[in-house]
Amino acid sequence: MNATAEILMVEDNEDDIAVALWAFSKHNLQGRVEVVRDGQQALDRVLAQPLGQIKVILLDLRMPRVDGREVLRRLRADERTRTVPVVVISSSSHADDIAACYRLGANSYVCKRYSTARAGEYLIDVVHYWVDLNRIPESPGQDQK
Amino acid sequence: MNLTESAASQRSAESEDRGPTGVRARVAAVGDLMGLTIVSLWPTALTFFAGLLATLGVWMLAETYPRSERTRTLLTVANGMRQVLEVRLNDHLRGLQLAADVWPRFSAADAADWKATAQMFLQQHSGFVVVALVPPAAVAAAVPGDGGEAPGAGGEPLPLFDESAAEARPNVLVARTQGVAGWLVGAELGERLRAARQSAMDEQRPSIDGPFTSQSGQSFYQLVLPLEAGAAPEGAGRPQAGLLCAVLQPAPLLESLISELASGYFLAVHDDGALVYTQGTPPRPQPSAEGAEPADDETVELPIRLLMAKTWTLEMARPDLSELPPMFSLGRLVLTGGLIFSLLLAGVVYLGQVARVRARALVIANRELRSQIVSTAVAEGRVRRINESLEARVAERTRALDEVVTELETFNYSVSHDLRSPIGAIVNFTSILSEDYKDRLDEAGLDILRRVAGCAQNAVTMMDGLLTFSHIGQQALTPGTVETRPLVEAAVEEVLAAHPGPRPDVSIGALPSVTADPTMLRTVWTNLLSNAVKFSETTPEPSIEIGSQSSPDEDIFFVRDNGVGFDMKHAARLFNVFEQLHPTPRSKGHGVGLAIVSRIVRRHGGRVWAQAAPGKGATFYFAIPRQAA
Repeated sequence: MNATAEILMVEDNEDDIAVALWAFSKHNLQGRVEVVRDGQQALDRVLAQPLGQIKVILLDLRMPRVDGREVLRRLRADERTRTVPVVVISSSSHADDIAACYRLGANSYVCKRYSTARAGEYLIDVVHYWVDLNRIPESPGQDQK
Repeated sequence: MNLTESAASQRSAESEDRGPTGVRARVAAVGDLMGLTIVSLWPTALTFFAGLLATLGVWMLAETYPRSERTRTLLTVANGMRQVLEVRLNDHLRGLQLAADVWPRFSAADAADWKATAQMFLQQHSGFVVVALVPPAAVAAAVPGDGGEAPGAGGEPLPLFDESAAEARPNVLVARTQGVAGWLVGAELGERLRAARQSAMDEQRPSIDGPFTSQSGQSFYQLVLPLEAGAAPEGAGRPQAGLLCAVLQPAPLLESLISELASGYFLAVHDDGALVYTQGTPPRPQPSAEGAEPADDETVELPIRLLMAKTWTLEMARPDLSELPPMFSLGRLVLTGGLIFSLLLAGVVYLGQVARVRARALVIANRELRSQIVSTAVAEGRVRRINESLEARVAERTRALDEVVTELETFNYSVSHDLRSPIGAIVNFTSILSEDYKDRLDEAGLDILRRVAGCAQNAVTMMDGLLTFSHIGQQALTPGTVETRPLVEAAVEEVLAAHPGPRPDVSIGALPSVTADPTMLRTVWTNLLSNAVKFSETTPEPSIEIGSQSSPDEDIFFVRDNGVGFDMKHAARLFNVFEQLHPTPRSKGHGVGLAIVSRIVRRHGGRVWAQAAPGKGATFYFAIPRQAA
């Protein structure tokens, strides 16, 4: 539990976590990231505790216990997390997966990239956009349509 | 076919179908059904001749029947005639005899009484013309009534009945029918009549004598009945004994009897050779002594027995029918009818034979047909079973094949997907290693690290290609009308943007719109263009030509480059997955581009092919059907 975390990373693959954390550390973002290892932990973190400073959720699809889609569905069903940006980070490039995630309310869909140039660099771009550039309503519920 | 053959064929047809006779029967049957009915003519001819024989028999019967029947009729008529004549004649005679018996017993009778009685008798019994009561003394007289005078000298004819003479001698009582004035008879005949009276008187026995013929041609008989003498009391001039003498003239008597009975017949009555009476004409001229006997059945002679042992002969002949016109001949009618009947019968027999043969042929044909139907049904059932099992097997194999394909696709997908992460991790960690630890590795170590990262990167690229390839197989087609030119232009821009090398010269020709899935079609173009760019990058002045050809059924597009080309003997392998004809840098392609192109085009019902030569560039074609959905 990191009360100051702005990025919630939901990922069960330790390799991917290691690469992501390495990339975040290169950009001094490690303190703003909180990592949970599966969907159930993610739901516990987001729905059972105060949301805190979390500005974006990076969500893997294929996970044990509760998978990414289920997490997404429950996030969108809950009033507090309805507007929290969710970026699906998946190894699947399948059109059906992409379409299904957007239907469930994902804000973005990014295929995992493996680059010899700089590992995990694409995650930095995603985080930069959603944390630093993107703006969402400060208080969900006050500015409902 | 004769009778025995037909019998044999029938037997064989009933017992067995095989064998030479069965074959022959079948041939006959087929011939029959074709209208060539062959039947034996023997039964027909036999029937015809039998009919003719029967006709002849009937004809002969018909010929003989009327003759015998007429003879029978003649006999019947003659017998009836004879009986009638016998009865009536004997009645007359008995009547006279009764008179003779009774007369002398009337004691008080006088001449007037006798006359009245005699006249009444004459009226009742035709044929009797004179009745005389003669006393014994006058019996010897030649003629009743001449009073015993001597016969006329010189043979002068004498009157048989002389009333004046009778009146002169009252002891002779004469009664006669009207119109009989007295016949003239010769002296000789008169003597014979007197002798007959005398003989009857002497013998006290009735007699009948005749026939006699008077000089005027009248034929007559003299009946003499002796009267009992001495029984009656003596009266005044009345004879108590003597003769009752009567003259019978047979012609009127017979005529009165016969005329009403046997009209049309020839009839004659003889008395011992003498013709007493005749009526009608003889049936044919009287045969001479040497001539042919008259047919027995045409003339009949019967005796008529009269009282007093007198016998007449009745001769009768049937009417002559020989003059009837021949067209009414029964025999001719029978012959004609019999001939027609025989012909009809023969025709019926012939038709019956034909019907029998045809029926047999139909039976055989039916049997053949039935067996054919049965075998056809059996064969049909076999074919149907084979078909059903075949369909079932095909469906089963198809299902199995679908399962295998699905399994392969799933396997392909999951392998690609699952391998992607760890291999991608290798890429990532080599990257991290080369960045964080480049100070601690010498140049050789860094080179190895780069090679490791490159291999892993290629693997990831290939995985991505496989995944795309797999998607195309599973994705549903959503076809629509696609404007080809803007799509190609966008694809060119995309490919060139991604390509770091020298920009080739691209020319785009006329491109028709097609009916296809736009997304997939875009993939086709990007892959082909990417290929063209890739394999022409080493050419000094790379150029790419895009165009189309048109055929009635399909739109043919091509992408032509002036790159390295390839040997056409490898063309068959070109569109397989991971087939690389050139040792190109792995990073440049995932090895499934042309396989994806082929798969998409085939899914649209089209075809792909290539034309190339080593060092002279390559042209890739693909065709989309006009009506493709």
